[in-house]
Amino acid sequence: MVGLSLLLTLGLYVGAKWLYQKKRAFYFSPVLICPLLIIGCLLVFQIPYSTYQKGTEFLSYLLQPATVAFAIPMYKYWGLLKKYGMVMMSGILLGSLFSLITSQLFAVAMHLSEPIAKSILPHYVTTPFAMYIAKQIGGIESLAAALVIITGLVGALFAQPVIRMVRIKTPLAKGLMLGVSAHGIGTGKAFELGEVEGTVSSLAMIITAGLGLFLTPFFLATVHALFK
Amino acid sequence: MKWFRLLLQVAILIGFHQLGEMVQRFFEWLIPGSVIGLVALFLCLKWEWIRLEWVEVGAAFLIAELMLFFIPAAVGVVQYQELILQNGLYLLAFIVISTVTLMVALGWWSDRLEARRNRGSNQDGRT
Repeated sequence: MVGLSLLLTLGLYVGAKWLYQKKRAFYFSPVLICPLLIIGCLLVFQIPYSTYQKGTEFLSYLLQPATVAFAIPMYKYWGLLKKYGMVMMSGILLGSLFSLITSQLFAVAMHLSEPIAKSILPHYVTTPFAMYIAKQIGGIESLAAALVIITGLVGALFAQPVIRMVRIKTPLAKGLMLGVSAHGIGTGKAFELGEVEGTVSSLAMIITAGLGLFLTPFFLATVHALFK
Repeated sequence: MKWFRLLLQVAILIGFHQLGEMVQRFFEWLIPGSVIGLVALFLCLKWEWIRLEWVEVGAAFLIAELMLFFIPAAVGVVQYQELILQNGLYLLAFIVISTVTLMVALGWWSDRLEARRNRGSNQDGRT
């Protein structure tokens, strides 16, 4: 059973990735189609999530060394960060604040329960960090992860229309807007647009995530101090 | 040989994560172990204690297959079916509106800023 979860996940991932590379349609994106198909399997065969989770523990663990791996693009493109530093840092700070404030407003307007509201807050941060932040502030880890993935897909899907509509030309702007709003999946899209776009996006994503670690609890404390 | 090198490099990255976890537990820091590992590896590269070739292939592999490692976490929403049925559409609408608004605002603002800077540096070049 446990081995089966791993095999199912790997098989679907390889298949979806192959399809996505051929068709480039967002609904073949492995992060969308694989979880949906697996959820279908779990429901049909009445397999509890805990069983599946145990079988795929190793895959989830690899998120951690993958986060460490981002040291390499940071090291290789440190010069780019120096060159674009001011625009990137201010964009990241303002973008993060925008995401936190709109999330909080939405949660209040919808009367969402506390754990759900806290799972929405880190939706703009890359998954391993978002799950960590959600856990720290009392949200639900896997809900946070799902919202992050949806956010990334939305960002990647709307990237081209936004670029055309607003007539964005510089690689810096394309990369920055994708990295701050749509993290990993957006960064994948940014690499499709170009090398500089992708690199700016991955740097922006890491810095946004790192900032989110401190900004989110600070933001919550401020909200509590002001309105409670 | 190729596979062996890849596995070895991934093992080095896992080692850095484990080191980060140990440091995090020891000092009881709020920063996750993976970030401590990231900073440690960055510094090791910068100080040339570790060569780029020792980790480059492994890192590229992990980053390229990042989506695979998200899948189990995303499947976790199966535990929250009720919530999804009740609020799913609103949640989706919120994410679409806020993400697209942010992209438009951020893209527009940084594009103008960068275009102006480019124009400025071009003129400097001419004079």
